[in-house]
Amino acid sequence: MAESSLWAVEAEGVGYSYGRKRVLENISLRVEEGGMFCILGPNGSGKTTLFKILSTIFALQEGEVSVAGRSLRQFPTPVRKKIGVLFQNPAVDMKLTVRENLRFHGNLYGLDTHDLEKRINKSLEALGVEDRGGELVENLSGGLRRRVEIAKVLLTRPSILLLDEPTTGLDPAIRSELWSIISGIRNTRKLSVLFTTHLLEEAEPADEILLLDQGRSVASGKVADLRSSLGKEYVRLGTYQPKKLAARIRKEGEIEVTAEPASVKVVPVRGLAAPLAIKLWRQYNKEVTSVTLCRPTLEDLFLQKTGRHWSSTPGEF
Amino acid sequence: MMQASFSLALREIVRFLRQKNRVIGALATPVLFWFLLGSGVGRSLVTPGFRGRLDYLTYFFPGIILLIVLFTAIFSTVSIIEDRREGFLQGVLVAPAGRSAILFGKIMGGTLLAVFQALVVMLLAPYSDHHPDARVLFHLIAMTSLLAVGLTALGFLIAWPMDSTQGFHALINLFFVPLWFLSGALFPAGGAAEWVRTLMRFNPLSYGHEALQGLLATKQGQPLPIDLSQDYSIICATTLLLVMACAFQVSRRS
Repeated sequence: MAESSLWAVEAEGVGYSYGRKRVLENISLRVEEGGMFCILGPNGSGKTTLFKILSTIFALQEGEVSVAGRSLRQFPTPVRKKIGVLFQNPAVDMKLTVRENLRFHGNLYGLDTHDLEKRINKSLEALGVEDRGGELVENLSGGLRRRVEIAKVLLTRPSILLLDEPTTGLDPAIRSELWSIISGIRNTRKLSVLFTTHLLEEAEPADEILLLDQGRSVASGKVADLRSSLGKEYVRLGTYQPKKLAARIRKEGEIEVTAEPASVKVVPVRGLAAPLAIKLWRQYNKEVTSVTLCRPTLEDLFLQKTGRHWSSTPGEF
Repeated sequence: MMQASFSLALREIVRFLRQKNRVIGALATPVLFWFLLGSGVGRSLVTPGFRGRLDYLTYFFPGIILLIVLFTAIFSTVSIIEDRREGFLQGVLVAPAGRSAILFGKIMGGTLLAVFQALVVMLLAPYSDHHPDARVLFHLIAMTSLLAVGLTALGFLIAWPMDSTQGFHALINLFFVPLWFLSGALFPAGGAAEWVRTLMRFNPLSYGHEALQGLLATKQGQPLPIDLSQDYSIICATTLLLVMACAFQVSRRS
């Protein structure tokens, strides 16, 4: 098992059922130390269940998980000391002040009371909320609450940060602020980060992703590798009559043409996409409203692996 | 673990004091019940079960102490459901302190609040013709604490698996209210129908009520009029059983 300490989190063959309902099937993943790992999946894909297992809320039914080289099954307490967990819903007490919340959290982790106040000050400073210490959390905005929560989680100096859909309920400006805070922390504290999301764009900055669908692993690996495995760049033509246009373009030969809602996707069988784009733009100028040169995205990956569009997945948007 | 439990208990108390409505509701409601019902019924119900001065204000007083403990137990355990829904509980569940820390913290917090409130209301005892001395006060605190631990544990047992406060209140009405009705708090067993009397005999809360009633009826310097050992042992055993059931319940992870 000495080798396993290279991994911040290592899961092998994890399965889970709620009664008779199977929600996770044979999931494996490895988070590199200092790495940023994303569990990506539409709603109902089982990512929150997987998250709850990794964060020790749910008992491990099948498979093995180790965190920082320690088995989750055998040593849940040392594992809990190593992880800092940020949930979808803020785990802060609204009726307590910011400082009281942090103090409470420190006591839960058995931190030395003398040392605790210093740590609280440092943590609040790091998140830029040092002047909010005396305020009740219920009086803070959503973005500030998130900061307080991160300050709280960092108090115990975890080596792995687990985040479950961390941007849920936040507006776009605060979302990007949150991600820059997280990446800042990751760099200064050498933290490993594992997060779940159902937003494709949020998965892109991760080093590695695990794509889940209906409780199964659909694809996993480095984002760049997954992209290149999908093949070539392609051209997307915006149009009001995708089917009609697709039928005409198909006659050109040496291309793969798919009609999609409000657009036509054209993949060159040979050659590059850029010259094809110019050619198509000139040739079909009247029918086409826009031309986009595209790299395969995670959305394409999902489509290829499951045969469904990301936005048509149940419960999505 | 103790640090975590104390911290959770302290949180309960801070939250309680910060919600002014709760402080008023928890103290004023039982006192209002006592005053209105006690004065309203007055001397209408004079039966052999009544001790001391034979009016209902006096009779009802120990029942009100019991009601305060009951209310506090309900309020402090309903927060488990809120904590679960708001996400706060998850943060506690992933802490290394362990789940039993949550249980003991809740029970400790609920008990301290209940005993404190019961003591505040017992300041009214002279108005109900009760005059507890130091020895009686010691037993009153001991018995109230045991009852508070037991009732908080019962509330915890019901609240833990629940995800809605509405469901909790429905069950509370089904469990707690009859438990209190049939403890002797409202009427003595002496004049009740045979089957009610049987129910009352099997209700552990009756023994708590009996003890409180006996203690409060003790005049200063007099020996205790009742033997408390049976009451203590029944309340202790029930409380222990409930706490053990809670410990078993929290240790189970889904």
